[in-house]
Amino acid sequence: MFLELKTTPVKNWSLGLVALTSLSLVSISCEKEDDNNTPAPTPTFGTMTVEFEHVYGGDAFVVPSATFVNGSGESVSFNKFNYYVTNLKLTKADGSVWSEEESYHLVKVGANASVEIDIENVPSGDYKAIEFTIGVDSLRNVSGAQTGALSPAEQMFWSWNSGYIFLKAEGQETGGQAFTYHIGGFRNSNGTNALQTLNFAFGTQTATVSPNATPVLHHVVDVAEFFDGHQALSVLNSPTVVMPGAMAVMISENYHHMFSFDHVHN
Amino acid sequence: MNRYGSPRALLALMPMLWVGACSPDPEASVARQAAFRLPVHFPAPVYDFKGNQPTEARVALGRKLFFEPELSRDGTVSCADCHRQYGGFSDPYHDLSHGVDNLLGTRNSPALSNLAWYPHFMWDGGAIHIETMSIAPITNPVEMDETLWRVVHKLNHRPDYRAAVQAAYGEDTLTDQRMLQALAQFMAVLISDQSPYDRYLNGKTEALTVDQQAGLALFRRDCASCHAEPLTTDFSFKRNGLAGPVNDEGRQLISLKPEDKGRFKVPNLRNVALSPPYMHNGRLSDLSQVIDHYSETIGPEADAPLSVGGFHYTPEEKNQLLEFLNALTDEAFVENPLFANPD
Ligand code: HEC
Ligand code: HEC
Repeated sequence: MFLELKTTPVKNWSLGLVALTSLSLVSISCEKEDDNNTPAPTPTFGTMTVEFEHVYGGDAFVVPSATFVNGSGESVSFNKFNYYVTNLKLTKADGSVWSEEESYHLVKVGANASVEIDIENVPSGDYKAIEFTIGVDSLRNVSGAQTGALSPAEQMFWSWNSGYIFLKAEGQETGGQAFTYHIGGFRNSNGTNALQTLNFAFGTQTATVSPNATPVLHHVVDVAEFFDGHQALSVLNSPTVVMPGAMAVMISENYHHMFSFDHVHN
Repeated sequence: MNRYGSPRALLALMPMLWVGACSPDPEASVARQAAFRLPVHFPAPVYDFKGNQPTEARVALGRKLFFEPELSRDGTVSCADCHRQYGGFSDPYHDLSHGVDNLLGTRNSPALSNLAWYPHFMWDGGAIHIETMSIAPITNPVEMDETLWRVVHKLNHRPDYRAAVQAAYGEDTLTDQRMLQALAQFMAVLISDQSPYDRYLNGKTEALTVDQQAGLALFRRDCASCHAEPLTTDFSFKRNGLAGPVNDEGRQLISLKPEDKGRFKVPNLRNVALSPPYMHNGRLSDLSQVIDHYSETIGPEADAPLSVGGFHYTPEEKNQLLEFLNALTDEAFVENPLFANPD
């Protein structure tokens, strides 16, 4: 059971710019100065696991993948399926929102259909909803050499047209046609914003985090929707999409539909 | 001026950026220090060194990397092979760049200077940060054709890099972030501000000959609306009316706007006399041809204030313009031993 609340292509470019400018004005040498100094009754923390179980229709999806048929009747298989899950936010039963710091995770589907992300240092409590973005916010796209999941060595970065690749899917159609989908784009100014933000409420379920309880938020990612979630994407008609633009935005709308929230596993 | 950021940001940066000796009088400080400086007659820089505080050891690491052929797949091509100091850090040998296996690029290697003032890089402005800029040549199949993983891996096996990284970062492991940031530091200190033109701007009128001063007047009248002073570019994207096959969409590749077809970043003209050939595709081989173009062959597609047919200069005016462009050559910059191959 899941409920999808809203869809917003977040964080516009000008906001990013404003944020960038003010950052460079204020915090030039000091990375972090405000420690958590609110005197609270000894807060405790735990871990929340966010699980993405990849399927194609009814079958498990691993990479390299089996051959599947898409909505255009094409038989396709994948040898790469990577995407960024970023800016995770968790909403408590009381409506308060906790945001993960440095919230950048790169999901690379491999031999396991399920990929788990451990969110550490989550304040103990009862959580009712999750939000995350597929892609990398505009500020990080324009902030220079990054590290960790955002390291450009992950080859999820376009250097000639600076910006992150939000999702990279590569493979072939059985007739021999290779496909390369490198989807990204963060600018509203030229209509290339492909950031997709997802929001799921847990319905009647609650995810209870404590120092000794690590709930799992189980999401299902149906890769079939990559081709047909919003508009049909034909591998033979459009085998290569490797830059920001209208096609990339269309495909991002497709893959938005891949994600669904399934259940909480306490 | 506010496109470069506020003066207050500049003030905040000053204590950090003025690493090592540096005098506010450019006359006295003929760039002998490989450190970031703010020339008195320049606007505030774009690059704020956030998270990449400039130090001499990091500049030194960046310089070592800039001259390092191991940045390429087969260890044959370094940044400096396409950006030669005596050519104002351009490639004066080739119209289109030559990379590994002598593969041909599609564009002319531009001269490099004052890069900390660039809001975007490349002829089409597609690269938007000095730190991520270097990823493009390293990974481009017709340039260095290498991956960041492999470069870092290769260099971490070299004791000389271990030592240089230790000096720069207090740990001896090179990461892709450290490599990119160190390269950015070296590029940021490539400041060209000691040409006769600069000395003239700073009050030494005799630094320019009478002809050069007349050329500057023409330049201010006809050219400076794009090649804005003192950086000699406003970093906008323009068509300068050069005829020829349009097989490079230029800025349109990035903006996706049809009206940007064939528009290119207005190039920085510092050390231009040393950096032939000219234009994004290297079509013009010397500065006389460039001046003849602006004088006689400007095509109908050109952006204002370039008018169809050109400015129709007299031979004397052509010579004055040429002399002025020569006055943009910064000997101290192209001969600065601190910018040369460290090995
Ligand atoms: C094979 C030749 C070649 C190599 C090697 C090379 N470059 Fe370049 N460089 C070019 C060309 C060509 C361009 C223009 C590319 C474009 O506009 O698409 C360029 C552009 C640049 C620019 C932007 C300048 C401007 O005016 O916007 C910088 C900065 C730069 N290179 C630095 C480097 C660094 C650092 C390295 C080494 C990591 C390097 N280059 C290696 C050929 C090369
Ligand atoms: C409308 C804006 C504009 C004006 C005005 C203008 N230019 Fe340019 N200039 C450009 C652009 C854009 C390029 C690059 C064009 C290309 O690569 O196709 C360029 C290229 C050049 C180059 C080649 C630089 C290099 O490194 O390849 C020189 C030299 C030059 N201009 C000098 C001048 C002079 C001298 C004038 C005045 C007579 C002038 N320009 C007026 C926009 C302008």
